[in-house]
Amino acid sequence: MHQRQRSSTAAKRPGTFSARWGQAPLAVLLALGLGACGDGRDEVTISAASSLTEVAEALETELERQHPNIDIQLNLGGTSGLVAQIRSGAPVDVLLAADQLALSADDPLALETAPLATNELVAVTPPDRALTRNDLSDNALRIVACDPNLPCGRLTEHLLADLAATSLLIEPDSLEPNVRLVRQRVLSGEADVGFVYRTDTIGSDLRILDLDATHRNTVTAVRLTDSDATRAVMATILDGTTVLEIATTLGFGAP
Amino acid sequence: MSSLTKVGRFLAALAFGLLLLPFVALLSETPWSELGSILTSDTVANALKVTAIVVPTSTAIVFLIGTPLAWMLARTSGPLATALRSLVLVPVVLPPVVSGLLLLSAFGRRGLLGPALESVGIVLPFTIGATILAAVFVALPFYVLAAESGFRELPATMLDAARTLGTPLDRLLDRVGLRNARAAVAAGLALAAARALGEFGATITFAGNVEGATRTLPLATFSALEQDPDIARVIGLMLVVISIGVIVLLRNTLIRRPR
Repeated sequence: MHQRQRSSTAAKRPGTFSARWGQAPLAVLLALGLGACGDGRDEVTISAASSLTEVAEALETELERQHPNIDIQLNLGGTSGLVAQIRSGAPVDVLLAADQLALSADDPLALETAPLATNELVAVTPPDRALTRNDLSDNALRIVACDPNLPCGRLTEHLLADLAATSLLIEPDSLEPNVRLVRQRVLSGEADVGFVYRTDTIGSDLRILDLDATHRNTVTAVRLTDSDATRAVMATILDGTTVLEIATTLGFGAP
Repeated sequence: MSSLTKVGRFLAALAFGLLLLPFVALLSETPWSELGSILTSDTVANALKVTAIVVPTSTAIVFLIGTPLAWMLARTSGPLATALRSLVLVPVVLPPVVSGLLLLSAFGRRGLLGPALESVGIVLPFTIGATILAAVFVALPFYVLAAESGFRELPATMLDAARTLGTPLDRLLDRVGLRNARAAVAAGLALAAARALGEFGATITFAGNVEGATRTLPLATFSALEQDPDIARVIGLMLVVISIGVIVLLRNTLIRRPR
């Protein structure tokens, strides 16, 4: 978006391969290198969990309103994938993780962590499909959940362990790489049951199945770099009103 | 254009380095001491099993339905053939995730054919059938195009002679076409198998990620990457080795194709 147009000064004269095209890749490299500060604003990259898509988008608008000289770049995906990117050196300044375990406070990468909001795991069925708790042990049902290395997947494993203790054995079929894909499988009717966050059901016609067991994750902000811009952004995220207002509007609980 | 200048040589070296460096890096990061235990782990074994079923099955289906199509395309010309050929090419260009979306629209539970399939007891998504279908969809064009080019090179006189002798089309295809276009057919099959082996996007979109049914080696790599990168590296290395095997197979048929 902020990348400059490629320079068109490459020589137009006919001739050898390199005279015609040799400078083009260099120009591209140059343009990419300059792209980061194309409009003079400081760039702060926020990686946010899929379940926080709407929170992150609203937050981006709010942060850019409060800090006109900061440009927020959003990177959305499953928390475990985001953490894997960060561990392999991706230039991310702030992580909004779906739980507190993904990148814990004692991890050397985490310069500062803070709980932002809570989210509850629920079982959902398609709009036109009414199931009860006891139907869930039916083997013919197609059940989808988050991959267990994701926060929503860890939470699902805890929930299923609790249910197993009451002799309700449920085994998910497909394990999806992010919670929004789980929701989509159920919304489209490909799956009969999915395990998603309560906030993922808002605005959709999904039916929530009462499981009589509550499991919550704590959405956590993690600061990863030390620039002034990143500190300013983190301070706004933690000021206690900005994020909480956005999050509660979208159905999250207080931390 | 006959020789490259200094800049040209530098760019060529850059391209080569770009291709080579990631392999060197993977080798340097491979956890060699854990190689045995990872290769025999359930995660890898299950994914290997799925891939070992999906790749040969989908390649066989590609051969079965792709050969007559390639034959037909090679023997027809005009705007209709051009349009058909373009249509066959689409999955090559399409992002695989879009291929997955198309397959869901057609064969998903609520897709175009979904209800009809379900009425006869077939629900594809989350089954190995869906994984095979996704592989066939993305691999078919590679085979059809390679085989077609082989069939096109067959001398028309030979075909006419066979036809006037009254050989039925399928026999003709079998006796004349496949035998004489063997190199192109083999190259096409290797390309299709390679594409089926590497298939990820259409599979995870259409077939899902079900261990033992749809979690192929590429999907297992993706899952492992977020959990235990060492497992991902080992599966990655395994896929590199298999890919090199395919290239060697290709070199004998396509790259040094006898003229």
